[in-house]
Amino acid sequence: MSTLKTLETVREAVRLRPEEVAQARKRGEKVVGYFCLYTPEEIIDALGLIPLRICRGGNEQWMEVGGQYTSTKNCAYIREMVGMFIDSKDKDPLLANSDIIALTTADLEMGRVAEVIHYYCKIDPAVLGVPRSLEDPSGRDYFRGAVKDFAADLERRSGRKLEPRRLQESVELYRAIRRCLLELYEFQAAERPPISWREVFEVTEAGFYLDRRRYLDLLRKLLEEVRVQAPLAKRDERARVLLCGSIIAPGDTRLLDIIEEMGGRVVADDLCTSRRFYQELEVKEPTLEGIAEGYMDRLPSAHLVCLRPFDEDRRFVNMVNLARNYRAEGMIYHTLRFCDAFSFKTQPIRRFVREKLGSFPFLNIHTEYSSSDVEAVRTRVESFLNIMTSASEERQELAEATRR
Amino acid sequence: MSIFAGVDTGSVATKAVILSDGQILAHSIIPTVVSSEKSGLRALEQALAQAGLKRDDLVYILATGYGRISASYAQGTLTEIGCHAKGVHFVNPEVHTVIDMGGQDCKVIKIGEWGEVDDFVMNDKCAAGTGRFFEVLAKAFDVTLDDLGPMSLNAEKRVTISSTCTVFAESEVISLMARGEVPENIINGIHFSLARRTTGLVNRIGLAKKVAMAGGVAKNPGMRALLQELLEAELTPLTIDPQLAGALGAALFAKERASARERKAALAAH
Amino acid sequence: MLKDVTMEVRDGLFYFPKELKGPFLERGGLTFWDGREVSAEEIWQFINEEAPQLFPYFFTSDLSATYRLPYHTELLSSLKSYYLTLTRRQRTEAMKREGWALALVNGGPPMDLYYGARAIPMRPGPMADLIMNYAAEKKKLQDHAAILEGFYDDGASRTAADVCRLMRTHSGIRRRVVPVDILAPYTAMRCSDMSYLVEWQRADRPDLPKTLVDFPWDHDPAKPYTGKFVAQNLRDAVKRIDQLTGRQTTDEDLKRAIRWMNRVRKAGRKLLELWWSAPQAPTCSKLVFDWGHNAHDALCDPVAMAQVFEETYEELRERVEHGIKSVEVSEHAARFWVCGSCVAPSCFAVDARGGALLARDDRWSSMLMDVDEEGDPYENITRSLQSSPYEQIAEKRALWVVEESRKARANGILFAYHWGCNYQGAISRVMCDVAKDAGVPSMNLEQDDLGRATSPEQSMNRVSAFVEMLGGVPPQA
Repeated sequence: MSTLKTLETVREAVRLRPEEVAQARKRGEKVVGYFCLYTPEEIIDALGLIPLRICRGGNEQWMEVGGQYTSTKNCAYIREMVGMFIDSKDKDPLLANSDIIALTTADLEMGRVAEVIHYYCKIDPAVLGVPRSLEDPSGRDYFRGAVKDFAADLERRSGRKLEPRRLQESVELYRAIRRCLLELYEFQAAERPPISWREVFEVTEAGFYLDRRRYLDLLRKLLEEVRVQAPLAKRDERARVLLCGSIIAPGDTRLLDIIEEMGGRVVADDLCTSRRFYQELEVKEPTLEGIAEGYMDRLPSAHLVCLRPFDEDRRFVNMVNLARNYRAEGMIYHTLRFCDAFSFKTQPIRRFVREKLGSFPFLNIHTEYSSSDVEAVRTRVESFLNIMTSASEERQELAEATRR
Repeated sequence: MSIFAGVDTGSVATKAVILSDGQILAHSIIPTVVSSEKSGLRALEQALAQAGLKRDDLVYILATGYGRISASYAQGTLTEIGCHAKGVHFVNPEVHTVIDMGGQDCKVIKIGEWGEVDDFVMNDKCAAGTGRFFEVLAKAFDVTLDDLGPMSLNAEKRVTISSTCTVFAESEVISLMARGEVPENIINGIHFSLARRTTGLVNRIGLAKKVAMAGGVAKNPGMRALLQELLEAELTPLTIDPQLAGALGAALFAKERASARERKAALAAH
Repeated sequence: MLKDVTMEVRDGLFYFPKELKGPFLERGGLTFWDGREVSAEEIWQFINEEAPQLFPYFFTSDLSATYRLPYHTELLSSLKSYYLTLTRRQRTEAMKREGWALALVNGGPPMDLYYGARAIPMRPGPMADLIMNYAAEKKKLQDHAAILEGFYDDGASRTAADVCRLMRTHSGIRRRVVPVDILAPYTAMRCSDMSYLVEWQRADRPDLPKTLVDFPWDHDPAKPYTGKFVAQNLRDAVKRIDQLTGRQTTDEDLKRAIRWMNRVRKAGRKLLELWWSAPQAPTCSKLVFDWGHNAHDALCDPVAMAQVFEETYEELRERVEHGIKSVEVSEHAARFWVCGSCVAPSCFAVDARGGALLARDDRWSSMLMDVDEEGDPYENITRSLQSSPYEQIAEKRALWVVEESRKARANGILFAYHWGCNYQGAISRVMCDVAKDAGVPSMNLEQDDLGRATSPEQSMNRVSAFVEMLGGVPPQA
């Protein structure tokens, strides 16, 4: 754990944020609560609306309630989202402060959430249509139209108009935020990390909530602090884990805790609530068209379908690149129960990663938000980390032997 | 005097009720053995012996519960859903929502004005939240089934437990014990999670003014207390053993079936 | 007119009694898409001599089996349906030799596109049948169940334990048992399991061309760019099929398929509406359900299918006019409209417990999706696709179901979904609750028993309770 002062400031800001948002609403500001990383935040911000990414995880009670309103054969996260909307006793403060709910159909089950909350909660969400492929020309045409529609829908709902000047400003703001996050990410992976992956993860999450201009300031301060501390940081010798797979949403700390408790250290990830939130997302033109292009070209979500060979599947290639660039010693592939987009790819990914990286340790954790398999997950992670360490020692010995 | 019998062969227990003139003459509750036909017959014979009657004295036997399919001794069969509604309505007509926690299924039944089933909803098809689940639980703690409820009531705090699966329940209990959690608290946590699931089922069809529990789990005071807490409603105590509601309903249907048969025969004779 | 004739039983297998032969032969044979003909004599011989030996699971006299013939023959034309069902494999192989491609597709949307492009559409359900035809030929009933289960296990263990049971039939492609040439299903709203499984086939079947006909879903299919998108996807799919078959599909090819499929859909609709109109169930539920499936994929040959349907209609009309009731269905049956995903409880078990199945909403929906015959066929299919009542948002679909189920004089709605079906499971409660709001009793039923030889008691117990609640009574034994 580092002693970064700015981190404390970020935590405090996150703690105060719900009240701050409530106050802003009293002044007449409007809030858009959204979930998916295909939601173009630039548009929300440019309309002067407050974007909040309100996805949640790890809440067993919500998952159970949601299962009653959908089925227990829906993705654990999806069930929790439905439960969050329906459970009125234990209302999420950020959700309670959302004037507009925005969903996308990148994950088709999220589209079903739109239907369920429409019937049971009388919520009429703004839905952004996402085709199965953003690589096919026809899918790209469709998404361009959908983004324009989404913007028009938000204009209609908020009674505001998009102005080119504001759009430009927003595009620049998010570009700066993403650059800061990418830079921060490099520090956590160092041999002597001045900041941990878990802390960067937390800072990324803070960006779901905080006022984005304030957030950029905080990110810059944090980076300064991290740069100063970097030379003084201690060596971290824990096993280096690449963590990929299903969403790990705010509140879902179980697996992350277990990895740390068992002596592992995440150094890279492809989570949509972490690195993938800002990785390879570059809006070049400050127009709706430009925003659509940027979001289409981002590292594709597992929810989309790629029918090209694995070598041309950016998601697969990305995992291997992450493992190489961040010198991971093994990969944990986390899948939520009934999260088919990820779980169906488990075996092909295992095969692909091994093909590219040799005998790379790979562990699949298939789980949901329940306490009943904590011990089972712990045992698996523990023995996996043991394998990882011995495998990497072996590699070192081998390397030394060949040098000799 | 016409005598009727209802036999309810559940996956955990088999129940029989002998009925005459609107009165329960005798009843029996025995554990279900592998052959559900044998269980049904045994429960029936036991109840008959208690009443000092023979099989031949019965006008009509109606079988319900999972074992009804193989009840060759019965003249008719119906599902336990209808029978529970019927039985509960007979003894407590003011009750219009019944929660039946049986051995294999948990169901919530909405009873109409005349004791008919208005709507019903059942659990996911797994054993969590059912009698079987409590059996597994009792075994894990090495206590009897009857101990569970009182132990739950004696908890100092509630341990959060999901226990969405009976298979995992045992291992979850073991790991909680390993962490030094006291049995009472764990048991309370499990009761709470089951009560929460059941409350979810109740919400699906709506809660009537008077609600009651039937089935074996209805005898568990810990479960009753938590359900009352979560439903924010009193559970009406049934005027019979709640485990007998299904068999009683079956006996009542036996009587209706017998009179329908007579009417038909009379018509045919004309 | 045919009186309900019970099957002959020899060595545990059903055979059609000889007395049926004469009347059957009088009705003549069938003409296929390519003009080839099969005589009634040939059909009779196949169905009564070859087929029972090849497919004992289908001819089994074990009444607890799910994939079997009804115990009573109610319509002579049903023999022709069985003929088309059971010759699926040999006809597919013959068509492949003539340059057709076997395409894996998904249920629901119009199949016109595939027939027009000379691709034989194969849904996951018939996939399971085909797996059986290849892997379980000449195998006994118990082996049949074990073999199918083996494929389901393979399908799940290679993907995830969470995969929908029906979709596990992808194992038949993976294991190269069914000679599929292309994976080209419609997707998006339909079924995410299908999309991810096509993606997954990259691992073991990189050789197979793969394409998805995307039908995006954003609550407003009327947006102009949506239609353009779908039409382009249709064109792309046909191009992929053309690359495979080496011929160029013309608009005329598609229009011919559309005309025949419209005829099949229309005949299917007429059949169901006639059945519903009868005061008492004129046939067992199995036939009604078969019509639903057959009207949708036309059993590899819309031309032959249309003939069978039209013939069936005449026979059914006679039965209805004479007020003949199926002996397998109760006089006091609870009439169920089924909704949900590609699944229904066993028709035989439902009949035996005092129910009757009227239709399933996805099949009825596809029967209503006629395609315009004039103009651009791609745009016409697009419009048909966008009109699909089944694919509307849950509340709208539920209200449509309520309306249609009233036409069929349903007593209740049974929303059945497969274990592992995220797409239908998610809205199972919304659908049921909307129906209840509209005054129609409903129940949802998660089914995990696909492919098992007998119907599991836990599912059927719920169906029985629902029958009782609706006042239904099992048929007199």
